[in-house]
Amino acid sequence: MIPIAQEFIKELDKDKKTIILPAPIVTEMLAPVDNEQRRNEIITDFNLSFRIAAFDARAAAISGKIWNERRNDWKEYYSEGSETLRNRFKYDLLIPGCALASKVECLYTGDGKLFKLAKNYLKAENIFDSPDRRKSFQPSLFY
Amino acid sequence: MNENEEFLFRLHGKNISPESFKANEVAKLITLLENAFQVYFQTVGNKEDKDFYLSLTDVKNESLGLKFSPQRIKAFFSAFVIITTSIESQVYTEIPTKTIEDFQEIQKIVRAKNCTADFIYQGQNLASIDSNTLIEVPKTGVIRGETVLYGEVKRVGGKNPSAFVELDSGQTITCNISKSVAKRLGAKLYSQVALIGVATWRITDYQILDFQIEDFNDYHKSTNKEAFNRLSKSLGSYWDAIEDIDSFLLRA
Repeated sequence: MIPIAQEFIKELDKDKKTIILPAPIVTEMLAPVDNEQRRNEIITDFNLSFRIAAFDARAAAISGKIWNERRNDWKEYYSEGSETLRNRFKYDLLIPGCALASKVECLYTGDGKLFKLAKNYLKAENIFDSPDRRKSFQPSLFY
Repeated sequence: MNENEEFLFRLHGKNISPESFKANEVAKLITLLENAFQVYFQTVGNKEDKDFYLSLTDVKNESLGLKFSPQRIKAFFSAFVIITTSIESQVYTEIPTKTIEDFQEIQKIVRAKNCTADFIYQGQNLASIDSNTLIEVPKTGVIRGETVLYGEVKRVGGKNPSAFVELDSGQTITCNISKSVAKRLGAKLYSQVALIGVATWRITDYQILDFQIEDFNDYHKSTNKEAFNRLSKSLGSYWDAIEDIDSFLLRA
């Protein structure tokens, strides 16, 4: 998976595309950091290195719309349907909410569930689904 | 539509004639009108219409009639209809806040001269501003809130300081700023910055109509690879220790 992700980042650089991180993703990435000072250093680094799509009033309004529209069929995307997955659905929908608010060209994810949810609203791509990207990392059958 | 189409801005009332306006008052009116449409195009128009300007082709002795010949007549006609409809209905959710402010300034002149301003297309009056016309930044039909926008600072300055910024989305916007922010932002001309402030978005399509910059942060534009390498160095060790990421996120 890591080589595919690296290849994906390389592709975006080649196409001169800028990655925007939605604020809820930043929250998730900081989840294992248990030291306050370290967390502050990392968030400063995030701010300097990445564009962060804020979860602002506009993103909140769009996310609310997604929640409303998917409240009855969320299990189609989060198939197991447990309470934990319902909470995941509620968290995940903030990500296309931020992406739409920022008017991004495409939402890239490696998460199949988020991909299925997001593609209802904007151009989305599961970075691990690209046959070309996968092919370039398939071990050769002949040695 | 053809090249001879006439857009007329006419001020009329008791004792109103071209002679009742000083040259600088006429100049101010023209500047305000041009600004109002320029900001409209910069904020909600197409990219090719962003360098829009108005040319005054005639001053008519019909009270005070200013006849304009805009370039890109189709785009101007569309903006003219949207703006005059907003004035006529007194609902301003479709136009940028700075455009509304320019019309408020025009209304101040209208009040001072005790006259009425008509927006006329091909002889037909589409909207009027008089001292009682409600011109205000809308409280409904828009969303307001704090946010961070990324973009390149193109221009900073003015008597009432403002910043002209090209946002990442390609949209350009003119923002009111304080003198202290103007001083600091001036040093960031043609640089990428993260602008912190209060935005107003149109509720129908989330188009940004206004942004009041309160502060800004530096942003180092680098390649995605460099940015992720830095992230990996600062955060990687925390995630390396987690075997099942999905499970961690579900149960954390």
